[in-house]
Amino acid sequence: MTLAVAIDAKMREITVWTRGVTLAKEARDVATLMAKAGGSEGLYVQSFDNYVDLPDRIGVACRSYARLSPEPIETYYEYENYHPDVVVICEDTMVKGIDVLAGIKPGTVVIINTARDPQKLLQYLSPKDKLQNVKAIATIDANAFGAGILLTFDGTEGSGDDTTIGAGVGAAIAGAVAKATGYVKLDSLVRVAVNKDAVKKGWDKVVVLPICGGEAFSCGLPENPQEIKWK
Amino acid sequence: MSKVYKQVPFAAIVKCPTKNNQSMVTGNWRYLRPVVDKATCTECKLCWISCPDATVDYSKDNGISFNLEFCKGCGICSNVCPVGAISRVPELDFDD
Repeated sequence: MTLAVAIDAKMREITVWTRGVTLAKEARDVATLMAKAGGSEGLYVQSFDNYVDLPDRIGVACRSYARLSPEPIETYYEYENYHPDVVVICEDTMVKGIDVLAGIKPGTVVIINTARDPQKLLQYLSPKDKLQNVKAIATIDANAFGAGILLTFDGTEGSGDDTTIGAGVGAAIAGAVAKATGYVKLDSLVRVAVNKDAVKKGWDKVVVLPICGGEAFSCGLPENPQEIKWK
Repeated sequence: MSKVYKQVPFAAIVKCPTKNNQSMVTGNWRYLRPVVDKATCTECKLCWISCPDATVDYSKDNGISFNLEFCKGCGICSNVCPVGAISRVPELDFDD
């Protein structure tokens, strides 16, 4: 058990996986938007990049984190989300060869930015024993909304980010994360993002596939993904 | 009491890999996989020379092949190929 789980029992942790440089800004936007939207709803929040992965290089797997809690967060000195509640994958090839499910809590939601069939992506996710902890896989084809990708080195390694927050595909992915997890409301997310249209499209177009015991649920999709009960 | 130079282990404290460095696997950086068309390939070995990570293998029996555990998918091989025998296919199209 890590300090974060022991002290902040109600804290929910979001890990955003992405490709270095090419998609790093958009992944940071997803974490920043979730934290900002949560903060505007009165939650206590943290949002930061994984220092271990920096400096990011083109195509290299790197992570951004967000933490939301209804109580003051006392975890200051853990710089990684060792036990995430939500895993976001900004580029679908990352399901292969990277242990994206490492350390996940029971009831984790996995959100993948992809145009492919989530059933097929399910077979690649690793480590395999952690598939038992996955509650649902949500897919969103954020690249199809034409929001674009911002290439910038702003905001890496502690420097200030002067660029706009949530102008590209990150806004659409954040919308999908908000709906699939139910952590923040659509209104508060729209308020903090620059590309409000992309957020709404991400919220509307996300497809949720419930998972039970590591396999896809056979009884169809529920009306509201937030009401899926974890067994 | 100084050591003679020959007694100092190579690469100081890091063990030098003899073939593959298993502590630095870079195959998961790739999202487009190089695929060689053996019928078009003239075995000129330009890709073998150009690969920055030495992940192109050549044998007389099998021709050009790729070490996919370490190939980052940079695409230099496909760019230098004079006959266009190397194509780049999305990684998720393969099951392995």
